[in-house]
Amino acid sequence: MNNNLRMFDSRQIHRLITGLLLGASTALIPAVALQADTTAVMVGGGYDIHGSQGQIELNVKWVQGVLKAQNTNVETFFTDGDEAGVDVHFNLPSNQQNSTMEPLARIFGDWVLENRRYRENTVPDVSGSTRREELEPALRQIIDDSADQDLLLIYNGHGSQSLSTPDHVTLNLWDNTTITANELHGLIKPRSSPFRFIFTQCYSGGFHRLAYKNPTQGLELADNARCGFTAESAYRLAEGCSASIETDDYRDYTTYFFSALSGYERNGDIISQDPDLNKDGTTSLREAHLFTLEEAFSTDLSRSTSEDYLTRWQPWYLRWLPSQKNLPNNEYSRIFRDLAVRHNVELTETVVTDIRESIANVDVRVADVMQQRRTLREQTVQLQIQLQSALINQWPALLGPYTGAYQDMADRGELLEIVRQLNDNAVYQKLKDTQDLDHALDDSLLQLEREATQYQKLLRMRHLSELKQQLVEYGSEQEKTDYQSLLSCEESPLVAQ
Amino acid sequence: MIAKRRTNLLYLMILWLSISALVWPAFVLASTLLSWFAGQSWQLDAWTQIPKREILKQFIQGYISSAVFAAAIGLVAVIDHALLSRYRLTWVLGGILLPVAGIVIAYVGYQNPEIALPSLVLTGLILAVVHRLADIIAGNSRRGRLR
Repeated sequence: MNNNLRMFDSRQIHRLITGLLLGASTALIPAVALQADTTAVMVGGGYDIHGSQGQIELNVKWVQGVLKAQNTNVETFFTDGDEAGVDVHFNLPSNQQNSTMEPLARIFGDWVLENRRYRENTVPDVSGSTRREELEPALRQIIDDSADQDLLLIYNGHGSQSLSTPDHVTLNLWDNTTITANELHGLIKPRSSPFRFIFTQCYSGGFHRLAYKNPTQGLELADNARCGFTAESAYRLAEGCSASIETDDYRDYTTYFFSALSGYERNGDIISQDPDLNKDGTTSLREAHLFTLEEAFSTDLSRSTSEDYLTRWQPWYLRWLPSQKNLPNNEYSRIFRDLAVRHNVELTETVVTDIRESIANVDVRVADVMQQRRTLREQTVQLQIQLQSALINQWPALLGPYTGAYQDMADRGELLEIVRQLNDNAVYQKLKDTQDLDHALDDSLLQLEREATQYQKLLRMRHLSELKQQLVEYGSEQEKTDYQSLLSCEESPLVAQ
Repeated sequence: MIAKRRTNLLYLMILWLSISALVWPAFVLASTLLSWFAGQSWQLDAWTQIPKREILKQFIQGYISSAVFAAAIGLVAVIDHALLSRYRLTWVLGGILLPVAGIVIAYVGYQNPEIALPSLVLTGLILAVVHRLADIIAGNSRRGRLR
């Protein structure tokens, strides 16, 4: 009995209890959400087959599921819609990567491509494609039809940076079409009902300009409630565009954000912490965002429109000043303290300089890994050239993989013979080890990047905590009202009732 | 006599313009130096996370927004020169009004003076050094102005 009890530590027991409570509340959601007054639009997928990763498709399907569980009508637009033809690529799971052609792919081709497969999307209930010329009129129609409802726009795909102003960042749509934040601002201009968005692509922060009257500059908010949540700022890449379809690889903003809203992780586990901070029985979008800030171990420095407002609001006479040592008491300082404990950062007088030192240490390790990777890649090329010339001397048809000679050689089963010989070849084994090590270094780099982001997030939480206090002390009444209206917009549940 | 007065007026004008022009860069420099020691400020994070053109934009915006205050600080430098540069004893203290002005701004302009006080005092000190250098370069200490 005692042994059995020892199998569960206090964290597991806490998770179990939280899970049971969350599970029970989630089960009740469909019953109370029948009068849902929100139209949700889901736009997803890549800009072409090479930019349409399996993870995006799975994210879209998962979010669809979460929204449908809350009895919401979701209009989904994905890649080429229902058109025939492949529009998604994915990597084979590691336990299925056993192609006989692997040695030849390692020597002649792209080893990554060897394990890549292509297929048609399996997203259910797709309303249409995301091509600009089809999506724009469809969105216009939805915006008109939902004039008296809340509108929630979710985007899961890729985005591009703007070299001018942040409102020129783009959503990269199918067939390499785009729509900028400025253009989307024009689309939603006629709306008088609330508009919310959750964008998870690279450079998504530029879309916070949707909340303002002037998309290019200024702090005056639009007349209707508009707010959103983005994975990143207008200047940084976001995590979450992997071709991997293994759930352990999911670290993007969608994963954490919708986990908080649904109560479940991607693998079906119940989430470890209750995101409902005010204990009103509903997880609001803002609570989901704060949960993500705390829980996400990714390269994303996510932000909400109210946070974007704070950073834009900060006046010139405060912006450049050094930060204060003592943090004010608000939600950001709480997250700062929790994150510090989680990442073993001691909350001493020198905490900020310690964090900067940690970032510098990670940078040194990154530089070291990059150097190792450069060396490995040089070695790989040398070994490939060595093996290629040896093989081509013996089997000249290998030079032209799209020729009849190559086809004849394949028909005679010689490719398999080459593979057999290669498997016993010491140089090939060395190439394999080098490439595997290179691949492992990619993972290490990503891990280091995630680690550095956690430290940067700590600094950002401190900064936001201070900004919020500064707004109280130095903001005008109008600025405080605007900030409060953004907060109320963000405090909405996923589905307005 | 008239020529001397004109030269002096020209010097005061140049002093006013140069100190006014340097107020904002000195404030940013002082704040950045102190931030570097303290470990955190907007510019330290911005350096790695946003494009440099955005930092420059904020700098220019600050420059424009602070112009009125900068002009007033320039005037403080002129008054400082007029009051303190005449006698050797007071010349030693030349420029002192600039950090004092920093203290006044911190207490009058900020709800929490302690957040701005170190930066503004250091800004004043940087400007005072410039003021003294200008004084030396202009040859005020050599031309028998001091008594």
